[in-house]
Amino acid sequence: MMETEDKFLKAAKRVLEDAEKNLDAGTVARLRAARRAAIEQGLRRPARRHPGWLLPMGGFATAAIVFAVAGLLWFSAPNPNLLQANVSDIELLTAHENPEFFADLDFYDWLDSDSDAS
Amino acid sequence: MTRTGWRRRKTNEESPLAPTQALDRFLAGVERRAFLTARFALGNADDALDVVQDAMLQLVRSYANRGEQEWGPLFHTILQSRISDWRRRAKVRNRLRVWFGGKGEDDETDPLQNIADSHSPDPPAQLRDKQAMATLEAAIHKLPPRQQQAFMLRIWEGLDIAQTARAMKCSEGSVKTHYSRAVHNLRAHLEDHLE
Repeated sequence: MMETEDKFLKAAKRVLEDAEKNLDAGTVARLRAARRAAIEQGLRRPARRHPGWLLPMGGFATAAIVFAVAGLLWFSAPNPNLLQANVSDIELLTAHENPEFFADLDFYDWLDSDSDAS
Repeated sequence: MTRTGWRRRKTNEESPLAPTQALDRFLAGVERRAFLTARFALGNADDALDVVQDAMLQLVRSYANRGEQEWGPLFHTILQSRISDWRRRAKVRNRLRVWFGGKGEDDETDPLQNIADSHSPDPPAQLRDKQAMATLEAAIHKLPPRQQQAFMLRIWEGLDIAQTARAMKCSEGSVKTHYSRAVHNLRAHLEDHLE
């Protein structure tokens, strides 16, 4: 049993080795070209595009810009007009009156001042 | 890093000529087998060439500075994982093709395979060899991938069980099982052809 298996494996190995030896010239040439290309590309170091000091300098510059913007936002005084507008908006939203009442608010102001005068 | 280690590394990086020659010699020694292994696995010469070139490039890029005795096992491992990657991609491509109503890749035949080679010094002997090779190739191609890997690495590359297990990234027990099943299957198909 083992002897037959050995015989079979030897025969298979011989066929494979013959195939390796008799590989056609076109494939051999393509393999050679592939090997040379792999070695050339593989050993080529990536070209350095920027000097080494540029990377930390860029990092510092970005950090400085971020800090400047954050500082401006943090320390700038709140706009009073904006605050006022926001408060009046909240009044409008929470009031129980009809929205048309607020549209005619100028008229009611005049009416009020007119009745005070008389 | 020690002073000596730094010096050694510095020397390796500054003289790329020596590794180039050693790599060329090593790859020239394994490229034909690698190609045939990939062709048996993938069933296509063009894809096999692509896979072999990828494996070569990966070896050079990642392991050129390793010792020469390490390149063999590393190259087998890279080649086997490239073949597995290719199979996985081909399976997805095939599935998409079937979904969109096209033919599967396995249905296609290479018309070049049907053209007879007229440059043969001994036509009957070459025909016999070619027939034996074609039969063996077809039988190996039909094996499940793991059995195929175990058979090729053990029989052809001559790796022992431990080296095969490292290349296949599995246990030694699995290698024994895959190899024994591969031999059993191949014998069942080929015993009459290879005597």
